[in-house]
Amino acid sequence: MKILIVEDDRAASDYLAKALAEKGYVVDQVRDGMEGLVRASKEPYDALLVDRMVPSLDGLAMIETLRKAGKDTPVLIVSALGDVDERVRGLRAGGDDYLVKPYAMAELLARLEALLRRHSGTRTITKLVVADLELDLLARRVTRAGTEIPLQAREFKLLEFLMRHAGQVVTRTMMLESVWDYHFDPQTNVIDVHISRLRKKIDRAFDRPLIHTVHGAGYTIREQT
Amino acid sequence: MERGTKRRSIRRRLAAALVSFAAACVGICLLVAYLGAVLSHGQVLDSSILEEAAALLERHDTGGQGGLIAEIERRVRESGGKGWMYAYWDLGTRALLAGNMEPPADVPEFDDLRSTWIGDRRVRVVAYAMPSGCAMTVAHDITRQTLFERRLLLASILAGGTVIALSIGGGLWLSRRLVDRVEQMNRTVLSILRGQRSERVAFRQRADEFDELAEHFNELLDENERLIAQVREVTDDIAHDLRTPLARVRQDLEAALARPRAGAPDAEVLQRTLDAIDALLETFQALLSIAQIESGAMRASLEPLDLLPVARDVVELYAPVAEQAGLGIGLEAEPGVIVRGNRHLLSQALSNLVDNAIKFSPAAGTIEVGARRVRDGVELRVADHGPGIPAHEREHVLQRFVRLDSARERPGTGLGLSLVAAVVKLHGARLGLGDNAPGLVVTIRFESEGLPR
Repeated sequence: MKILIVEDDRAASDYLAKALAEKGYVVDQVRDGMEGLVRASKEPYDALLVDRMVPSLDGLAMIETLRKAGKDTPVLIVSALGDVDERVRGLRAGGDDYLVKPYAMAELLARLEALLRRHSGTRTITKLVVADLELDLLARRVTRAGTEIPLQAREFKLLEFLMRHAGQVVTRTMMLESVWDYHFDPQTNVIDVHISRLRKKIDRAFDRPLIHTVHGAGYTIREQT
Repeated sequence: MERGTKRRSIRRRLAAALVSFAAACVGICLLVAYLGAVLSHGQVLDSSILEEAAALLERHDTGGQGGLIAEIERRVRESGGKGWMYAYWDLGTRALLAGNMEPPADVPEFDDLRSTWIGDRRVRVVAYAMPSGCAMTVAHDITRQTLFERRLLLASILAGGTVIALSIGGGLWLSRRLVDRVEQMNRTVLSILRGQRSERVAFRQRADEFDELAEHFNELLDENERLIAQVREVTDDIAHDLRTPLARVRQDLEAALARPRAGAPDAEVLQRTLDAIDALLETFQALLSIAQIESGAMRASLEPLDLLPVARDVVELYAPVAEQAGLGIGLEAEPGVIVRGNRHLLSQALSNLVDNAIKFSPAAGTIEVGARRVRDGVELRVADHGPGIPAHEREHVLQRFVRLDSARERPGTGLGLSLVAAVVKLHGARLGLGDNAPGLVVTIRFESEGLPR
């Protein structure tokens, strides 16, 4: 997996590159938007990490130009501008996700992974399966080991989100954004309470738990091996 | 700010004062004119009548009855057509001895000048009894005079009425012009208070006192805005500048935690430091968000928004948290409660309020969230049964970093209600903190004028 970082702050860029390299990504770094545009057009990257405020060509203009040229490489925008309308502007320019600085590395890694996965498998699915847990998207019902588990609408959406990212880490912020469409941090850790309720319904009656806590990052659903 | 009492407009009072003043002036003028015209004319006539009578009586004294009769006949010839009437008649037989009028039907009060009817004519008349058993009457026709007096009275009433009607109209018009300027300034101030900070009072280019007031007022507003901008710029700069190095420190700590090395501080210390830095960053983020909302730049993002799903989603987000804390949370909302709003900001504000309500609720307490129509608008409402906020602290808690003593040991930035206040202001709504007896009830009231139809 090859990633291009477009970021003019050398320290931030190096730190990011190092963290990504440790996770096995191949990383290129550029310092301005013009150079980023040239590199992203020529070379086949799996994803771009773009800071909005970079010299010569700002990040959003760079993404817009790429999209007009027909490049659909997934883009994660990283910016200090964190308000909802800034986020909307970023996504409208062609960004696939938007992360506000300063961020926790775990958050960035989780989002990047989700972005890469989302991009590779886009065929329509009607059923999500993790071990003996099945979620039927058409009938909107959930069963585990053949037993139906009744869920409220929001619990269903939360489980669907976890299962669509099965095996990946999803952060609390990602869940708030995707399941509730909220782009602010509630002061209390509401997501933890929702997950704990979901766990009671999905895991309590069974030997092997499927929903796992990833310390310092978030949650993941997977069959523990 | 709205007052509880009904406003009494100056316009009606000003108009009423003008009308009373005009009416008084006109009344006095007419009275003087009437008295002048009617009374003085009457007095002149009366003295002529008395003079005429005195001349005739004197003729009787010098020339006896014959002299008087001759004199009366001479006068009838000379001035009978000018309205003068005379009669000299025998009191006993009522036979007219001289003159051009019938002797009065009833015997007149002698020596007394008065007005009476003779036939269809109105006359001013005086009568004298003579020692010979005869009587003399001198009269003057005042029919026309009476008619004139009547017309004068009618004209006065008409003139007075016209003047009063004109002064009512003029008074209303004048006071309207004055009050309109004041009202216009009032509206400008109100809309500035509701967040339209760039508005200014309009000029009329007349260089009158109102324009002068408007000019000074606008200067004051400019100065005020400049100061606000300056303060905001300084806070924003501080938040931005402090955030960058903090983010660096955070990165290093995170890296150190990820790769523990011999001789490095232990993980627990690092984690605590990281948490502290996250709390700091959260505070800066909240400050910047509030500054951004207060700048009013997001007013363009307001669009018709149904409050029911907003309230329902926040209640649903917090329901498990409330349940875990042993609290009840209820939603009382009607559908189709539409305002011009930003869903994200209102959700965040409402979530801050519910978060607070949960933090301060006593064991087994209940929290009610509402979205409903009220008189002249709609209202979002969060009520709890916690300790509440004393009336004198309610303005205070909306300020940044203010935390009441009862809240000090609980987590929080002290910016939650400041953000709510900023969001409410951006929406042109009104924030109310009240007593839920016991507990706190927070209302966000959207007035009808700001609502989409």
